[in-house]
Amino acid sequence: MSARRREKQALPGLDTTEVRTVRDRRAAPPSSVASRAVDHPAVVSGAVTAVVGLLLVVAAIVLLTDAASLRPTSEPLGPAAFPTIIGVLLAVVGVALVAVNLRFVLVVLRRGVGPVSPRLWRVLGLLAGIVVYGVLLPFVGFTVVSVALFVAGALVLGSPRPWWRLALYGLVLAGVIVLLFDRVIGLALPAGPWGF
Amino acid sequence: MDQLNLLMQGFEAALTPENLLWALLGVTIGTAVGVLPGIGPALTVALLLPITFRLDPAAALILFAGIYYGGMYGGSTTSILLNTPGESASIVSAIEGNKMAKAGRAASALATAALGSFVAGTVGTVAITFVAPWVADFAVQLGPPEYVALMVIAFVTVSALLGPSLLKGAASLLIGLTIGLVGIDAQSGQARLAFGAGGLFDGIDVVLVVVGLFAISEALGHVLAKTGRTTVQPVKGRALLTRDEFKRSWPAWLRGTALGFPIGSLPAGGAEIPTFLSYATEKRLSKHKDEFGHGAIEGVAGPEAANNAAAAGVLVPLLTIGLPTSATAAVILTAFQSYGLQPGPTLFAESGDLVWALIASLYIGNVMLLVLNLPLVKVWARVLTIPAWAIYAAVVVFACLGAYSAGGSTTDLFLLAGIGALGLLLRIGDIPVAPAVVGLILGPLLEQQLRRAMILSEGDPGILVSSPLTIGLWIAIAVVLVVPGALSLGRRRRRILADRIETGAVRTVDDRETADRR
Repeated sequence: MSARRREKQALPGLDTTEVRTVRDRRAAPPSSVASRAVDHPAVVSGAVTAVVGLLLVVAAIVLLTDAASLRPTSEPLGPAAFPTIIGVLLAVVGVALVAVNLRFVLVVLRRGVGPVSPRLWRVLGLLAGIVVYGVLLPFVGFTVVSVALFVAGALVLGSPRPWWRLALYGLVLAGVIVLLFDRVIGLALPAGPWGF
Repeated sequence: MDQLNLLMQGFEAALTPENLLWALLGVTIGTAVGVLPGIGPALTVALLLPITFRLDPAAALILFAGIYYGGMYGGSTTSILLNTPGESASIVSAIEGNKMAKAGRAASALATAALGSFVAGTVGTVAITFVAPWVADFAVQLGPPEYVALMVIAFVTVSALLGPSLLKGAASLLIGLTIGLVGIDAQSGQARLAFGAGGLFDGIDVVLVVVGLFAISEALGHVLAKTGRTTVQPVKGRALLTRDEFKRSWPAWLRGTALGFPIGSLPAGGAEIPTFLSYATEKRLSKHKDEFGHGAIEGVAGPEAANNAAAAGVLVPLLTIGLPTSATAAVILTAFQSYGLQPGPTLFAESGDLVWALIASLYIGNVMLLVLNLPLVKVWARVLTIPAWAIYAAVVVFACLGAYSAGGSTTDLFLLAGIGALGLLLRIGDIPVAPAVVGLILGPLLEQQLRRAMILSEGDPGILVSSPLTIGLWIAIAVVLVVPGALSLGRRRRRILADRIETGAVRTVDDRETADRR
C-alpha cells in the first residue's frame, strides 16, 4: 500500500511514531471525532509518555540536588560526578519526551478525561493490596497473606469464581510454595503466630 | 584440548545423581513458568532466582542453567501458540509460528522450534566451550578505559535496538541507571538517593526491579485491559516432523545458529538482530516463498535457532568480560553476584570448576529439554488453558515472594508496588523496560570503572581514549548515535513510513477541527 493512501486512512492527530499503535488503532477506529481522548490508545500512550518525561525531569532535579549535597573526596572523580552526568541526561531526555509528546497531552486536556474508569480503581486496588501484603506479612505469616492476595488479585482481574473457591486455589498455591521453598529449599518464609 | 579436559571435569561435577536432579528440576520449572503468557526468560529467571539462594553455588548454577534454557524454550512455545512473545527476540518466530498454529500445524511448529533450539543450543554451548576461554585470555588485558567504552557501547546499542526509538530506549536506560545509584557509595561511604531511609542504604535489589517492571506491570496491564478471563484451546496432535518438514528445517537451524552465536557474543549483541536476519535469509533462500506470511516452517526454524544460539552467545561477554547485553543476561549477572562470584576475566582463573560445571550443565539441560519437551508438549500447552486471572494472581503472589526473599523487609514490597506502577506507565507509553534492567546492573560497574580510570590518570579524562581499542570503540558509539538506524535494520524504514502517516494525520486533524468549529 502506498504511503499516500495510508495518509488518507490515517486518523487525525492521534498517531504515535509506532507502527504497532497505528495498526492497532486502525483495527478499531473510534466511532466519532467527538469521542473521548482516552478512547484512543495512541493518545493515551503519547500522553503517558509525556508524563514519564515529566517524571524524568523531577527525578533529574532530585538527583542533582542529592548529588550537590554529597561531600567531595580526594578522588579525582568523587561520588557526585556520576549522578550529575545521569541527572543532566535525565533532564535532557525528559524534556525531549515531553516536547515530542506534548500534542497528545494537549488533545487530552482539550477533550477532557471524563470520569475515572473503574478499571483504574482496580489497578490502584491491586497496588494497595501489595502494600497491605507488605505490612501484614511479618505479623500474620506467609500463608494467610498469600491466600488473601491471591483472592484479591483474582477478583480484581475479573475472576468469575466465588471467593471461597479462590481461597481454596490460593491455599493450594501457598501450600506448594511453603513446601518447596520453606521445607525443601530452606528459604525461611515469615510464619504467623500459628507457625505457617 | 585443555578446554576438553576442563569440560570433562565439569561433566563429572554435573553428572552426579543429585546435580542431575537439580538440572531436571530447573528445566521443568523453567519451562512451566516460561510457558506462561507474557513471561519471558528474563522474568522467569528473576522469579525463580530466590529458589537458588539457599543452595551451594554449584547446585545453584546447575539449577539456574536449567531454568535459563527452560525459560527460553517455554517462552517460544507461548509465542507460537498465543502470539504473545515475552521478549523482543521471540517476536520473529511468533510471526510464522502463530500462523502455523492457526492453520492447525501447531505440533510441527513446536517440534521444529524444539529441535532447532536443541541444535542451536548444543552448537552454541560447544562454541562457548572454545571461544570463552580465548576471550577471557584477551579480556585480561582490558583496563578501566576499555571497560568504560565497552559498557557505553552496550548502553547505546541496547537503547537503540530494544524498543521503538532511541529516545524511549534512552529514557528507560536512564531510569535503570538512576535506580542503580540508590544506596551507599562503596568508595566514599556516603549514601546517595537514600533520603535517610535505612531500607535504601543497601540499594534496591535487582530482582525486585525486574519483577516489578515485568511481572507486576503485566498483571496490572491485564487489569486495565480487562483481559483477565481469556483462555486458549489446547493443542492437538503430536510434536513430530514429517520427512519433508525435517528436510526444510535442518538447513534453517544451522543457518540460524551461524547468525545467532557470533552476533549474540558481540559486546553490543542482543538476540533481536540475528532473529530478524535469519528470517530475511530464510525468506530469500526458500523454495516456498509463497508460504512466508502464511506459516512457513523455515520462518520458525531459522529465527528460533538464531534466538537460542544468540542466548548462548550472550553468555560469552557475560562470563568473560562481565558485560550483560540483554535483560536476561543482566539478571544472570545478579545471580552470579549473589553467590559471591563476579563474572569477568578472572572468573575462569578463580572459579574455573564452577564455570565448567555450569557449561557442562548447559549441555545436559539442552538434552533434557529435548527429551522432556517433544513428548510433553501437550502438557505445556495445557498450562495455557489456565485462565489469565489465575495465572496473574499467582504471578503477583510469586512476585511478592521474590521481592520479599530478595530484600527481606516490608519496605521492599512498597518499592515493588511503586516500581510496578512505573512499569505500567512505561508499558502504556510503549517504552521498553529491558534497557532499564541493563542500566540498573551495568551502571554501578560503569561508575566503578570510570572512577578507577580517573584515579589511574590522576584526573585526566584523556585516558578514556588512550589506546587504539578505546578509540575504535568510541568511533563505533558515535556511528550508532550519529547515523540514525545504522544498526536498526529496516526499522528505520518502518519509522519513516510511520512518520509520513503521522505528518499527514497532523495536518488533517487541524482541518477537521476547524470544520468542527464551523
